[in-house]
Amino acid sequence: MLELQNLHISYGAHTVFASVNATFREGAVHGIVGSNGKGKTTFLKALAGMIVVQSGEMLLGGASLNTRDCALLEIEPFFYPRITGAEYLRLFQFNNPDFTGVDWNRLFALPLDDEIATYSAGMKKKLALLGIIGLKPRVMLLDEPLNSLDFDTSYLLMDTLRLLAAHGTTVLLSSHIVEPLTSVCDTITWIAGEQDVQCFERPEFPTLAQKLRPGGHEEQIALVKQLLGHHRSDGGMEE
Amino acid sequence: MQPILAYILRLRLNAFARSLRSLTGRDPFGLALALGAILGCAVFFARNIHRVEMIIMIPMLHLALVNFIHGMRKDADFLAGLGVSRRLLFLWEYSVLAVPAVCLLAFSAYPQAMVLPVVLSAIIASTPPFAWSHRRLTPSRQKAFFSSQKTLLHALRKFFTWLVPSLAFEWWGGLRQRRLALFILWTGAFLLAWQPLLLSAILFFLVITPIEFYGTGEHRSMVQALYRSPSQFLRLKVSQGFCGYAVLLTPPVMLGMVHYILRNLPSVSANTLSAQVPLFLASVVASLAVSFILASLCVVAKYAFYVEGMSFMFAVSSMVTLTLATLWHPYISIIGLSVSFSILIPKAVKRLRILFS
Repeated sequence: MLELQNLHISYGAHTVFASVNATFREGAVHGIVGSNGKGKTTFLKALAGMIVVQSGEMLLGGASLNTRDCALLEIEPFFYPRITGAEYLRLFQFNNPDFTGVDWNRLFALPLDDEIATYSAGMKKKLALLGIIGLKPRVMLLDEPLNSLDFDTSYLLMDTLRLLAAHGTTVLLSSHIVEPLTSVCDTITWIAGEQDVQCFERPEFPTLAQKLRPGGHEEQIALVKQLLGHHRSDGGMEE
Repeated sequence: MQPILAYILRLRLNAFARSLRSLTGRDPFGLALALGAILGCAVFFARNIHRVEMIIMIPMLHLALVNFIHGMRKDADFLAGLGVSRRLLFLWEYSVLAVPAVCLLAFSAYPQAMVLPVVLSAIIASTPPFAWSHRRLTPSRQKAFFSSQKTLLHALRKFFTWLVPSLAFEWWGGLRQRRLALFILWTGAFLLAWQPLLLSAILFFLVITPIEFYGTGEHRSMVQALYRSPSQFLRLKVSQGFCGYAVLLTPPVMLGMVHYILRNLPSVSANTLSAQVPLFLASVVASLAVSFILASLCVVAKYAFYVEGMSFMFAVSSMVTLTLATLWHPYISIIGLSVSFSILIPKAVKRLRILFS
């Protein structure tokens, strides 16, 4: 079990999490959702040890979480400039000698001999994903993994994550949208505020979207209409 | 050395070699610049290696290079994920980069100075790059850091907006990222004011600043947002750069001048002072003029090579090297700069025309 107890994280005066508690089963896929700026990335980075946690405990299997057990896929993965895909994957082999990038690349068929700079955004994301898989972590943290992936690859990734979970990996993935997570996740955690973190189990998924978004956007839509009307009366948008 | 560190180091060297190959292979102008820079450097160091100034200049060049690379590093989280010691990797990388400086200093008047680039590399490697330094602070210090940063930054921003009410985002970004380096520059300029090395030191820093600020190519959409005709756009950017440059760098020069005059006043007679101060002022004005021209060159070079950062850095470094190399022959400097401008301005306009089309 991955347990977070009384987690407190802040950036200077701005508190992101205050006394947050959450538990995640091992060997399962967990979704993290929340509005922009609510702390999804901060949450994942804190688990990966990339952000200072002011107070609280992070436990994995009852022992203090070792950041070496976690691997994080960032929204925009980092690549050294002017290196090839094969050279990048070779980096992960130092941590896991059993990892063979060429074999795993049969999943995505990336041109590993080309420089990464020539890859599209989706190809870069796939390459970074292969690297993370190569690390073979106990806890896999994926920040917006579906961004820039095509339709087919998104489904492939979902199925791969399920298989990884079946092999004992705990997967946490964040998303802005709930719908894609419902097919793959065992639980979905909603970050609503600095102290308000709610966890939903699979039986609750069908009504989840409605729970998270009880009201519409009537006020905002009225504002857009008003602004559009204002522009029209001015003779068009400013260039 | 850990195998992964050796591998990353090898990757970095390979990447550098690839950049050089693509730079010289694709663009005849780049090839000419590369050859010119190598020739300029060789002539410069062959002729001046025994000068005392070299003991300062070579380590400073190395420091500027390493500091520039260190400030831009974005691989912190990636390295942490791989379980690699960042400090150790930085130390190895910067020590490898120090090899040319160490070799040059070995032939200088004071070979003992060879140790300086290595020590400077170690110091830079031990400091966190500014972008992620706040993460290493304890919670109480983090709070103090953010509040002090806010106050200082607000004051600076207010002052800067008042002086440069424009869209010079390179200078905004540069100011945010490099304020520590600027503080060192200002303090250094003040402290060095009484030294005979003043002019070369100030000139050097004045040149490095715009290179650092203009090093990052903004996104194409940002350039297009400031839609003008290519020539107008270039004029706008040069004037903005010029303005930001003057705002930031005139105060330390003035401070240095005041310091110099105050220091020399009691020790010289009225006659020598009347001869010395105008000479000093003339040399300060001359060095400012050269650095202003080089700042403009940075702006033009950025758009001439937009958005290939490596080519930009290489072109500007070559120009600066050539200018420094020919500093003792003003006519050659003037000819060199004129030729550079006559090549770079049409190149920049052409590149911008493609962007705007």
